[in-house]
Amino acid sequence: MSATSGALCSHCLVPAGANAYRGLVAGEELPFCCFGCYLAYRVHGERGEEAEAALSLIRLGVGAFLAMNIMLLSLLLYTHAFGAAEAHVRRAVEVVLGALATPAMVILGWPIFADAWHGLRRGRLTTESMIVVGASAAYAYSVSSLFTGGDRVYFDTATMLLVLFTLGRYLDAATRARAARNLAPLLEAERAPVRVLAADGFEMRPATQVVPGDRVEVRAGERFPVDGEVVEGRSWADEALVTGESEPVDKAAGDRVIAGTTNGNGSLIVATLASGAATRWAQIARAVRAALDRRSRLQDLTDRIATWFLPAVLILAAAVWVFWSDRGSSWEALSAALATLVVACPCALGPAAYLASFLAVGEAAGEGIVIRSTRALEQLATVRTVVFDKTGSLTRGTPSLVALEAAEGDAAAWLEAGAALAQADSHPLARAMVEAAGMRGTAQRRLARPTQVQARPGEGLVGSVEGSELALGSAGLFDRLGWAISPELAARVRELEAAGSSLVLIGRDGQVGAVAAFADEVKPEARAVIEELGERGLTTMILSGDRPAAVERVASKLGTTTWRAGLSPEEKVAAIDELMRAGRGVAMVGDGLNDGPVLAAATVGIALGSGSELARTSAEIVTAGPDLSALPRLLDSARTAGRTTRVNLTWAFGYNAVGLTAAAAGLLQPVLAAGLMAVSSLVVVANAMRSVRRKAAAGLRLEVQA
Amino acid sequence: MNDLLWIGLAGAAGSFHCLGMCSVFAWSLAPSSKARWRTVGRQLLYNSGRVVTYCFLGVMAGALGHYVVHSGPVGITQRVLAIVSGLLMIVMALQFYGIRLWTNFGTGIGLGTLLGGIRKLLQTPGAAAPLAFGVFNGFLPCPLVYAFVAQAIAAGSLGRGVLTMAAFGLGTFPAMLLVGLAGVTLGPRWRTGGVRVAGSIILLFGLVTLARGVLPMAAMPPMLPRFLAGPPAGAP
Repeated sequence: MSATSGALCSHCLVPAGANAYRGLVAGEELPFCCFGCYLAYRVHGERGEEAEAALSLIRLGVGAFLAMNIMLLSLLLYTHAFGAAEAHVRRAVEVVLGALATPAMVILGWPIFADAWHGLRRGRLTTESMIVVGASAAYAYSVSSLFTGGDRVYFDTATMLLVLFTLGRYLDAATRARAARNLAPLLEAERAPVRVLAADGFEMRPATQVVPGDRVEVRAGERFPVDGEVVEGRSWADEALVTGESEPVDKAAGDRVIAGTTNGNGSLIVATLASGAATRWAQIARAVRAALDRRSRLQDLTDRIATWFLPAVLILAAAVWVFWSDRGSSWEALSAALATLVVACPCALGPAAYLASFLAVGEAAGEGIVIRSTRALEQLATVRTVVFDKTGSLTRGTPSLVALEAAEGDAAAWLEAGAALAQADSHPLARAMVEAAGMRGTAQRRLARPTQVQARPGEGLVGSVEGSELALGSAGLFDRLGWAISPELAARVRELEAAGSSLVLIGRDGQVGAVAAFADEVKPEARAVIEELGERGLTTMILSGDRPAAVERVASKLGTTTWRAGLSPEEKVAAIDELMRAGRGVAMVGDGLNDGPVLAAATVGIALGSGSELARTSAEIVTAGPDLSALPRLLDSARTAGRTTRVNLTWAFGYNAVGLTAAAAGLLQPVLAAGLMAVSSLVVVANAMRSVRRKAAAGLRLEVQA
Repeated sequence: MNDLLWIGLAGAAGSFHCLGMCSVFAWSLAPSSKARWRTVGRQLLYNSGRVVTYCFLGVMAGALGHYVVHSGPVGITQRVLAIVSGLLMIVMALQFYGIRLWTNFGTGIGLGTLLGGIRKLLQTPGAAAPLAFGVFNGFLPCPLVYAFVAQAIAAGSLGRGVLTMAAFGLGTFPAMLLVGLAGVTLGPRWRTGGVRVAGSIILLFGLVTLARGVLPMAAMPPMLPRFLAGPPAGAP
């Protein structure tokens, strides 16, 4: 909320910015991002009064009624349905047209005129201004020609322009509202009221004002507003959005719940552990809102263009008028100028630049993937190389037992003895050993308690278990202790080391008896993901700080040939810079914390949300969980959005260029220009919607259970 | 005028379909309890809105037809137009028998929005609401309307296009007025039969339109109404 000042649009929930359009609904001034949203809100608004909401629609309907009648009569005029002999009929029809057009101008034009005036007062020339200039020029000329007996009227152009513009705005807003359904729970996260248990029943408070210790009631199907612990009730939670865990997780008294996940079928009382504003959920919400607030590169570009475009078109229209006044009749000149003005209206440019990206960001947020800016999405589409960090990205990040060799006796017994000592330490390898002993089932009974444990930093542990002296650690530790190792076991140790495993030797009473090899296992989905990325024409690469042998092992398992090992973070950054200098867009996938600078160096940094704090990572994209399989989908989504945006912009610009040329040359009827303008907007909106629907058909989960 | 009379009659027959689809709208146009004439007014406004939308579609269709006819040698383009329109009408007619060549037609971005808006308008008092409602109602996807729009395209000129749709719209007037004013309704069995009748008539129109494109002039059955035979190929 603090990062993105300014209000949200009351209809589509997009940040409306400082220059929000302020619309009056039921006597209350609400912020909107645009006129279209204001209109759509009035029609669909649940909070507005029913009658008032319908008023906008009546406006549109009655306006359309008048405009269609005007269109009918005008078309009959154009096709000379009234012959030369019936000049008086023609004249009468023109008067009727004027009589129909005047109320239409008032009914339809009023909000648009107000909006244009609103923009103008803030020193902005908006698309509404162009519509206003176009419509009023057409209307004024027609009225004067009605009184002076001129030969042409343009009531049809004026009214059609207003109807179609209103309709286009309305559809655009409706589309955005539909897209915002995915985002609504996110954007509402901080505003949504929470039932806090008070002395006398419930008290409704926004999530941000819930403090640790508060008891909150969460009913079935609701979203948990805070991180907390269940005090009362039984239910289950859908945590997919935050942790990536797809199975329902049972919740009973004492269990933790995560803000942003959805409560299942039971009502729960939850004791708040962290304030509502500090949860990962709130962070996601803030990040997504910031992303939508941040303008994309393309949007900046189109905005800059529009700033110059509007005055340029006005000048061009004036030039066209002057040019044709010299060469043709005054109505020809006005017709060409009007058509120029109308056809050039960049109504389609706005939606063309943002709509597809907006939909994609919303859709990703629905899966718990945070894309921090539409710019990141645009850049992801241009990526040619995906670089992975090894530990925690391609691998699980925690070592697990891969080999166990004993010089003599039962290997499992050695593991159990080692695990007993390992309990005393929190080193990842020690923990892995305890876990491995548990997994092998050798420790069904409880492990013995170690005593007199000495930790040798970087080497291992020495201690006493069940009366014998036990040591656990690297070969170096045993060298120093001077414990003996059999040649066979020493050979095995060298072999395992060469295979890239991390080794823990286990010794008892002056003799090394066994060796346990640990390796960081590759995630099960990693190979398929690498292959899928390959199919999409991307090169994959591993940059790791780990030993070459370990990296090679992982690389060979995944089928990637390009890897570099033993790199410091600085060297990783240098390697990425090198790739980028070669002109390749680089996406860096890491766990988000240790490789912060590396993620920041790449074109796009993707942090696998394995518990890392959203706020502390420099990555522009953060996934919901450690699962890699979101990557190909994310890439597809970015590419589709990019493609749709390009198609839309090409269409919007190309259409404007062709239309302008035709109009300036006097080849385009103004009313036809109005129709083309509307078609252009419709094509853009429909195209963006279509790209989303196609993905939905491909089985993407779009709906958030809100 | 003979030809338009036929279209009007077809529209009247087709209103069996309207009774199913749009009668709900006509009923729920909040009848005014105060004065009967106000109810009449609301129903008339609603139906006028509808017909104006049809006329608009007609003039657009006519313009398209006009454009196509004049884009090449008139005799040939007119035949092509007749074939395409005829086929379209047949496809629409088949829908009335429950045969759909494609499903989910017209559930684009506009429709949900349109329906949401329409719902609001139904409960709104005042004279303007029924009018606005009629206008939107006219844009609702409807096979009957599509069929006659196809016919309007085949008409090949703006004037004929608008007259086709106007005749069709006026043809649906009596049934819809009866529904709205007297609350007339038909049982499902009657309605099913009625819809079949509507389908048959559109099918007949489609076949005749198709025939106009395919058959040589001389082979046109003599007892067909003049309009169905269309203007002689090559006529302006």
